[in-house]
Amino acid sequence: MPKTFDVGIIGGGIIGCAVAYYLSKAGVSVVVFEKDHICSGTSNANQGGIAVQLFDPKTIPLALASSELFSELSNELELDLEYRRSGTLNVALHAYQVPLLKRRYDELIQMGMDVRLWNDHQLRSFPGGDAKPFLAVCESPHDAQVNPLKATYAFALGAKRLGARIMLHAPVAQMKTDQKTIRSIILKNGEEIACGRVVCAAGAWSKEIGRGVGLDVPVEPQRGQLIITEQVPRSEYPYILDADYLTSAYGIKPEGEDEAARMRLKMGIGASFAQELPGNWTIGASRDLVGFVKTNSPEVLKALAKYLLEFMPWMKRINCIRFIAGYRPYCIKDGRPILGRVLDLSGFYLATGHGGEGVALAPITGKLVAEEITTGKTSLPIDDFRFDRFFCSH
Amino acid sequence: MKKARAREGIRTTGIPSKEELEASPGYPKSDCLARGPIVVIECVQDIPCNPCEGACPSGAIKVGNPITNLPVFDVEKCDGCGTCIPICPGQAIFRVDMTYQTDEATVSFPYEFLPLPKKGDVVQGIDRAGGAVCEAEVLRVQQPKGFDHTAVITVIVPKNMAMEVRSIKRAKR
Amino acid sequence: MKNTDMVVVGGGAAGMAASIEAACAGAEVVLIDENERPGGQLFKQIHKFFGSEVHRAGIRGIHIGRDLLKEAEEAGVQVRLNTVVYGFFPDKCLGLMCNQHTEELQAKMIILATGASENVLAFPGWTLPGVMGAGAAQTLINIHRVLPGRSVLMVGAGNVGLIVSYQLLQAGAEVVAVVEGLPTISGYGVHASKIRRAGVPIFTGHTILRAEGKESVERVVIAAVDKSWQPLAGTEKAFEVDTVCLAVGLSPLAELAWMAGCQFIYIPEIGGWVPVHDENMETSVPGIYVAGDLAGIEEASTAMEEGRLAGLAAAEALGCLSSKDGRARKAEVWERLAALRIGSFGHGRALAMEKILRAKGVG
Repeated sequence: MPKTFDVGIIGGGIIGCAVAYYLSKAGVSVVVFEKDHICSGTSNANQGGIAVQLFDPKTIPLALASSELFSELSNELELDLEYRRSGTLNVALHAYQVPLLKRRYDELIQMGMDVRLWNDHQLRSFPGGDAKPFLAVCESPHDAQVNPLKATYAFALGAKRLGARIMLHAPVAQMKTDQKTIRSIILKNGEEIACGRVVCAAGAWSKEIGRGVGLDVPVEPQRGQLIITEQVPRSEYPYILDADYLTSAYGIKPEGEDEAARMRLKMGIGASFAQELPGNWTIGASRDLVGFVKTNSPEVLKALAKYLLEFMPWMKRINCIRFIAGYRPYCIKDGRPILGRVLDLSGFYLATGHGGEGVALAPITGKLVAEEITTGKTSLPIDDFRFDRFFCSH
Repeated sequence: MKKARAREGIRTTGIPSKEELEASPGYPKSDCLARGPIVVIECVQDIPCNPCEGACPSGAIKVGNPITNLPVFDVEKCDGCGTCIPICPGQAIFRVDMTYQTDEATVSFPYEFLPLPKKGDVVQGIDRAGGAVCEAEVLRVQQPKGFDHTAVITVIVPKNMAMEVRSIKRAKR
Repeated sequence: MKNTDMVVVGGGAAGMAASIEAACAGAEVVLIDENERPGGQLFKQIHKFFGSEVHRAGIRGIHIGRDLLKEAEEAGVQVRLNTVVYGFFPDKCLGLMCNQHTEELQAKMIILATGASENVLAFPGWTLPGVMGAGAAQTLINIHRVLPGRSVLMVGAGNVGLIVSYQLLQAGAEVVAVVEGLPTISGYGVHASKIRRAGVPIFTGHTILRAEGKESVERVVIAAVDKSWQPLAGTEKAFEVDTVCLAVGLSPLAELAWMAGCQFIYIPEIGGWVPVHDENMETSVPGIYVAGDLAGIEEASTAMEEGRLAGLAAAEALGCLSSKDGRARKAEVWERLAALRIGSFGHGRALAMEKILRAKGVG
């Protein structure tokens, strides 16, 4: 195997593989260093959601472009990504959530997004039956879903086909720098590979990688837990979110009159119920910063299940087949991804900190980082996402 | 000849070969059969197992230590009571009485199928390969509680079939 | 959250034996089983067991099961039935579910005795109704008194294949043949002899090519195989059957051990991935023990002994047994276990156990 590559990418999750794909498309020689196996980290433990209506307004333009890219990639890549525009419903189940939801709806309309507020007729017809009627719903019909494992593998296979090398079970020990320039990567087994550029796409492990070159990358593992159900017939609305996501966005504490709401706040729970193509529902999502802990906790699982039943009481009879937990690579400074070159270290790029939006932003991340590396310019501005933003004083 | 032996035998057919039987210390030498009813132990593999040793009231069966030893049969001590027959978990113990009649012998074997035959029934005697080899008249069917649902059936067969017949054809249910 | 000294997950031969030893030593023991009654595979084993008197040789599995159950009740073991342990959470906290109600139970010591599940063999027609595991057929006939079919092809001549063939005959089904891919019969010869006497042919060096039928199995085709398991042209034989039983090995049900973070080792001879454990049956996670088929596929007799060992060791770790008493009692069990792992049938398992002990030493 050659010992020199144009670009070394640390991390074989969906971000790393997307970057590898776009760089390989541009004719650059790429090697991916994955400490475990493809898709073994967060890319393996999520809902595959592209719920743009919930994203930070600064991230929305990237998310819209990314979703569009997924649509094209479905034809370009050799695996069926199961990309579909199932749309999302952001639901206000409680009175305090209604004004937040309406405020958000206005913001989204301002940004040119095609979102709709449900009228009374719609609110009465879904969910219907025994369910408590939703008080307000913001529907975003172009939001989408994708199969995250297939997408990651598709990027990896596509990159390989274009000449990229992927090294598995190849954890990085350190990086060699010389006059504030990246020179090479040294693996834990001692192998040294010279790379003119290095992209850190190490997700939740980016802080550790950054430390190796004297950078404080503010990414922490934010644990999320999911319940996976058995397969059931497709719902008319397979992707349902909860306005509590917005309460954290707007820094408002929900009026938790009841114990359940207080518990949800404590566990960082915001509803995110997504039905996969074969019919299994993934029920999420919680957030806690507990370090690299990938176990489930009964309290969170029960809280998620109880909350689900507030929205869709008929799910009571459905069986759970599995519980999973994963680490969102969460940027603790401002919750936004960290993309692009690092001024202090020539040749070093970051593609991390995607939090709960990694799958959605993978294509655009790959494209933009590849553009920055090969041309020095990006087709969409990424100043709001640069590493340098943490050092600018406002 | 060695090749032929490797081809047939307990591990390839499920039936112990003549050589395997004669090599087993539980299988009586042919001259012993003339003494009267004695037990025939067809145990040829080193399975950890020894209930036959404890079952025999006369101490005619010895396994010892380790319990993978093949049972050693002392024909001098055997009075043909057949207590060992229903105990063997492998159903590998039989009793043969060559002295029953001039031309006839009896064979006793464990049997765990329904329906059980009755005394006097004339059935098919079958060999180790399940083939019907002769007629067999049922002399006795024993099924006391102590046998724990293993019946011991004794049949009358032609003398030359006594070391071949090891069961009877199952009746249709 | 409720607390207890010891939880035993799985009320089969190993689990019951473990509970009895621990409870007799004075520990507070909760035995959990997902079925409506304990006993695991024991109540299906209607044949007489091998071994020696201490191993209950000559006694049928069902009686041994009943005796163990009585002993467990008399020892004061709390038995929770119809209860699934669905999760293993931090700090030895187990997630339980019973009658649509969940709860958590924390224990100082946990003994996993969850047994094993049947392997399957895929071949054209394997999804037709009528194809099932041999163990499943055994449950149908011995527990539920239902015949799975009238005429059966048994795939596999290990002990399970041979014993279940015999029991199918007892239940009134016809076993038209046993096929075994290996050139020799791996089960006990005496089990094979019983079915040969009953007229069942055993085809060693053969495999099933396909099962055929419109709505369910109507026919099977078998063929001889060469050393690379490739079918030999011209050796096909067809049988009219309505049932195909697969007795092609077992794999430990190790999910809880994986969740608990136990170290595993891969040993194909005893079922594949098994949790590494020491001579006390303790895994790489202190306070978590394994016993029975989960710790490596063997037999009911070894399962019971391993259960006793784990129960004694865990009771000793709790302080219910002095280390002197513990060592003495365990020595008796080690001796009984060793007696079962000798000879041509036991030797391979003894080697496998040595591999496991070595791995524990290293890891």
